[in-house]
Amino acid sequence: MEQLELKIPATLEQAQLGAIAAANIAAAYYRIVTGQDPGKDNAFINAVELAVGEACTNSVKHCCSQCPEECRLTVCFELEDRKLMVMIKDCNAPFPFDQAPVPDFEAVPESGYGLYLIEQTMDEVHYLHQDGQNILTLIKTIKDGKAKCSQ
Amino acid sequence: MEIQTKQNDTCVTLTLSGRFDASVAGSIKETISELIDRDNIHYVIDLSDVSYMDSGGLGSLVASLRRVREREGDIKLSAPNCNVRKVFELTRTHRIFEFYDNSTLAAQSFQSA
Repeated sequence: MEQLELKIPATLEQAQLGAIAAANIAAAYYRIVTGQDPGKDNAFINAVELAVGEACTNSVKHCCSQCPEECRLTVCFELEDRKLMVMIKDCNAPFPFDQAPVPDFEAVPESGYGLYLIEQTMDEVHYLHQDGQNILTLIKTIKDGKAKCSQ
Repeated sequence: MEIQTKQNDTCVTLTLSGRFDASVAGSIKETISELIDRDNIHYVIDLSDVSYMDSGGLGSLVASLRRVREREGDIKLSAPNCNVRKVFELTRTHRIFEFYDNSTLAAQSFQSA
């Protein structure tokens, strides 16, 4: 399967394109894999849209200050069997992915939920810093049946 | 994202429609902040036409709730779709908001309080 690649300027407005593109590509892949229309409130599509949106927003928020005018993030989509893989790449400083704290739910923070939401909605999340790039890989498997978002 | 504002004797109702994401969260927070500065402390936020909400949108609601509760006010939410509701549940912030089936019921809850 070929890879689809989207290059997005690192602004909060443009970052939402990553989420919107992810939702549409997830819907197309769902049709290819299941032969069914995904319908409204499809759990697979909603999860991919939210996780990719959070990842793109995080990339923008941590955009390297040295090159604000040239900052871009890249979103790559690939389908392997029933697995949709989305890679979000940026040139920001590396971050300690494995040590990212879980939000303090009792304190009800106003921010800091992004990575937690990604991990809660995806089947697999992997982080790699390679050749000066952060690469966050999100994997979600298309399951049988039209799982609604409440399921 | 569009915001419609309606005010009655007991509360301000903000009806949001479209995508409630990090790129618009600041403007929602600012809108509510300006209303708070004009001594409005009771709010209904109608989410029935919000198709998508991320942690940025959520964060603006949490921040606004904190500000109005400092003034003994409240923000009540109405009719989030399943997708939006899930973001509240995953972050456990559903515990700090009151949810209603529609904005009329949410507004009435201020009258009976």
